[in-house]
Amino acid sequence: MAKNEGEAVLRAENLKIHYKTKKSYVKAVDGIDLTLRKGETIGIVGESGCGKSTFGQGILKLLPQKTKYYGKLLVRDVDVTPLRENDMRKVRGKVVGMIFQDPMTSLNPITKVEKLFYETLEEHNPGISFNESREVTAQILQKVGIEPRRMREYPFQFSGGMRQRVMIALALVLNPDIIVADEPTTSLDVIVQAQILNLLDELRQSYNASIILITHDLGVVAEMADRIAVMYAGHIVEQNEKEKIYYEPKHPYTKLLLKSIPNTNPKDLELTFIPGSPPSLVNPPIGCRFASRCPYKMSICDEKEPPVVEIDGGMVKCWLYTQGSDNQ
Amino acid sequence: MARDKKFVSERIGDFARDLFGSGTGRLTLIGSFILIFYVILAVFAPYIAPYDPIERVGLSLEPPSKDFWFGTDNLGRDILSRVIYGSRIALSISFLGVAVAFIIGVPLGLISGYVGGWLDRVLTLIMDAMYVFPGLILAIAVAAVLGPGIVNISISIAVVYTPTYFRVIRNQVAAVKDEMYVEAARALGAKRWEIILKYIFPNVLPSVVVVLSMNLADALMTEAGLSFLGLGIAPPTPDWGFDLNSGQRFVLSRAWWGIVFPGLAIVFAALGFSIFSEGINELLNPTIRERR
Repeated sequence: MAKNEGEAVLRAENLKIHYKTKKSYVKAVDGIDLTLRKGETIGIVGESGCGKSTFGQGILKLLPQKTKYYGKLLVRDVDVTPLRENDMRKVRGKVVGMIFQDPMTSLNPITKVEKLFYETLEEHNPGISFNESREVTAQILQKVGIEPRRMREYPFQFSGGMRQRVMIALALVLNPDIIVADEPTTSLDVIVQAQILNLLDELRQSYNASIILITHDLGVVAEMADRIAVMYAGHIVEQNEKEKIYYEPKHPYTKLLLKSIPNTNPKDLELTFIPGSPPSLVNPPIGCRFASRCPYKMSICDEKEPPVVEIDGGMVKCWLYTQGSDNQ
Repeated sequence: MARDKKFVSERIGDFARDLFGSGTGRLTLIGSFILIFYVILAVFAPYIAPYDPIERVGLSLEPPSKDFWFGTDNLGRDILSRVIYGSRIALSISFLGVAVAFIIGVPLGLISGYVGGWLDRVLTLIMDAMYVFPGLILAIAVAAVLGPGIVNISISIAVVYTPTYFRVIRNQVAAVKDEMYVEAARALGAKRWEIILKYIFPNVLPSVVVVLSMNLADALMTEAGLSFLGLGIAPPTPDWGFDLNSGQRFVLSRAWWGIVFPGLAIVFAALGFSIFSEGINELLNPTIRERR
């Protein structure tokens, strides 16, 4: 997939998402810039609590009501940050579809599959008849590899992988431009994972949709994404094409993250990990957020937030790459 | 697909087998028989009862005999007929009272649990304040203010049970609304009321059905208690609680039949409801078994 081509379907400009807690705000997403183009898949990776899921749900504004949004989030050139619940509903499902992490719990257990589809279709096309909806449902189920006659069953009659297929079909049935897949394969075994990922990729091509793939699994993004954005403590610390990220990681965090992927070599019993833990997002440090765990730490890292440096076709947010741009 | 289709009778048969197949199912069956028995008594009272329940038909305080199976009371009225007619008042008030409690408590619980915030705080406070009263005392207080009559008694019973529904529903909603499928429904653009009605309500309903059937037994006894204290239906309408009260004055003159038969009627009705609810309870919600 060529970079910098095709229209941007989603653009975050200095987007901040802050959760309200009792006394303070948790700055879960704290100023990220990201552009998603038509037909493109962006993988967002990072460890737990780095804000990647917040970003994903923030696109649909599914977060608690008191959550604050700053900056801009353009979905097909419409800034959704000021939109209220009622206007947001037109975006949900229709423009941006979402696939959730746990297919076991994300389908209403007491509703037949055909009814799930009917309710979703009816929401956005009022007046659609049940029979029409079943026809559409049959087609889409066929596409995700489920026998159409199974639409008369309840979600619990499906296996985990099957349910995730239903979930994908449900997210695609309104033909959205963007699909946010929040850890779509985390709770599935590796074989089913591969099937689901292949399916997603095929569907992306046939629907010409764009995917935001949120995961902590670097194997999954390696398989699917065109570009990868690495998040750490609310920031995107590095963003580039997949190959560049894997073969020439720039940011120290990316490097360490790639090293800590477990492998199946029985002789390599040592599990690598990054010592320390991410900073609190209530009062994040002034300087670089990764500084406390970074092996390449310099004195400036603690003092000033690193700038975003354009490098090698991508971007990295690190003082190591500012070379002589002497900000001090 | 044709195999999925069954005759209605066959489907009813399957359902009945689910319902009554197990040990607890047999309990449910017994309970429902008792219930059906009382309902038949209430509906067909004029055809079943041998005498008019408010007419003097024999001597005062006649012991049970061939003519008067359950004996007569101090005014010479046939106790059997009064017990049969009494089931009308007992059943209609307990059903009505529980229905009113359900209709008020469930929507409030749904809204309170889903919306949360200060509304939830206020409603929970009010309901908890009502809940701390002993049921009968609260019912007496309300009944004393409202006065006698079927509707008024039903309302005073409803006041006692509304908080139960509210609390059960509210807590269940608070748990269910964070379920992934509710989130997923929002992600697909469902409206708020749709989420409440189509996603949350059906998922919390089973726990309420259980409370509903258990409350029927309680409501029946509360009603008997109220009319025993003279706060129920105005005489001479036949009513178990009231008859118990008037019979109780003649126990010392060895007229045991005056309290035994209305009392047994209350006991069996309450037992029927309880057994039935117990069965329904375990049928719909196996996890409740552990909790109790």
